[in-house]
Amino acid sequence: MLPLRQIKPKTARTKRFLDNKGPQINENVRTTLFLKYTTCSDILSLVLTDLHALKRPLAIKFTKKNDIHPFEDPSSLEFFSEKNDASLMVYASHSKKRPHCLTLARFFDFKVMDMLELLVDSETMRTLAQFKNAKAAVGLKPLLSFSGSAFESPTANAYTLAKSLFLDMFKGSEVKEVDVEGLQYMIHFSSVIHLRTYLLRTKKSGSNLPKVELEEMGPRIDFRVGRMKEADADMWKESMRKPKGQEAKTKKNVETDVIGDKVGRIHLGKQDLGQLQTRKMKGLKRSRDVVGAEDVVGGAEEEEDNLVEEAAKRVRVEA
Amino acid sequence: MADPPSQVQPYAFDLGHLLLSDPNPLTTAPSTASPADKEALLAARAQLCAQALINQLLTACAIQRSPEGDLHIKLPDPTTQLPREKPVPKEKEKTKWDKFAEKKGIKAKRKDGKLAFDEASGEWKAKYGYKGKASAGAAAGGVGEDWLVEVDEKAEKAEREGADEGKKAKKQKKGR
Repeated sequence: MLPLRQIKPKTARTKRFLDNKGPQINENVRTTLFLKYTTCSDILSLVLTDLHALKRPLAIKFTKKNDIHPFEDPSSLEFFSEKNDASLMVYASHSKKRPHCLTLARFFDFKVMDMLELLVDSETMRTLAQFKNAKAAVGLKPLLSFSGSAFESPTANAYTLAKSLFLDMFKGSEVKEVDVEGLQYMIHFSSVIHLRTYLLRTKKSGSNLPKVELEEMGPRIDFRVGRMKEADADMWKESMRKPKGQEAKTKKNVETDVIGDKVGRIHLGKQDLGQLQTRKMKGLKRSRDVVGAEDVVGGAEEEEDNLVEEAAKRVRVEA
Repeated sequence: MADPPSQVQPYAFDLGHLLLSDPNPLTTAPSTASPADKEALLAARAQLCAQALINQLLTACAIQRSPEGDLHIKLPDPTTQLPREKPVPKEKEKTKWDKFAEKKGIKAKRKDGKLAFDEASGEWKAKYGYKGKASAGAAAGGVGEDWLVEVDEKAEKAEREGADEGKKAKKQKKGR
């Protein structure tokens, strides 16, 4: 497919649009595109509808069928990505060889970065509408949890890729704070992948922390892992680059300890012991040795300060 | 709230993403259990996760009341780095002037500002305009209070005549 023609902005409005679409330091939230192959099972259509419902409003759903084989030739997907400024895709296809197959694709700079095939278990699939209860409000940030050792594997495998993709897909916008009321549902993934979505119900408990109860909201989907395409090393490195000058300036000597308390360190200059005020005693008066012979009585008090200073100087020279 | 006996490894949190990672393997493989058992198993596991995540959110994060009266939880920055959607924007190429200015150490001129310190009154005053230096007293070099002065007719007339005489003299000079 031909690449999109390069537009040179003629009006401020087009410029704004293009700037918003172009590379930015603080990026927009990813838009997810949902689309299907020429053959797509009913089950998969329902899955697509439900995932789209969870993803709204950061999602676009295509109704027309597309003859695309993502693992063979992803150029059409790349075209759609650029056209819709969507960098995540959920592609549904159904064939004899790969029944109820959902392909998750992530894009970098409108090029396919990594892909993962997930085969939906048609027996255990339950839709959002099959659970008769009030659903969570649209567009809320869900709580996410991943159970199972496979997701935490130190070497990259299909499960770590699935975790990364699901996290990217459901994390929503990055926010500094959330409303307590907005914590309404949790998406739970457990390995050999089971996707479950629960509504959170908080009950009062004895302590100041509430007791959390769950109620399944749907969809309920079980996946098997199919083919995967790992990210190209160069592309991955490029995508993980951090823009310069974004790191928060570290304040010197201010730290937060394990408990969360702010701890500051103060550096004092080297202490001058010569200036140290020790206990004043008549016997230690320097005037006793020096002036003793001459026997000056008057003005001894005034002289004392000067002598202490002088003594201090001498101590410093000796030290 | 008590952790199950099977829990060996602690949960890992990424509160910026509201994410919990539970590295413990599932005790019995859900695929081998009957469907009802499987759902119960998963729900129990999810409940523990949800409880842990909510507890962590409420204990580790600062909670504030927003101006509208809602309770807001302040989230820390996410720790799991996810790939960018588009490359990092390229830095703008330096123009010939930029390079030259950098070489010579020329910096953009800073504006002086509208105010100037008035030593007499010990205050910052506008250099011009309303309450500016010009509207200060005559002593300070401004017009001050005497912004309207009556014309001294006599002096004005004498001056005009003087000028006329000068002109006449000039004409005569030319005519000669």
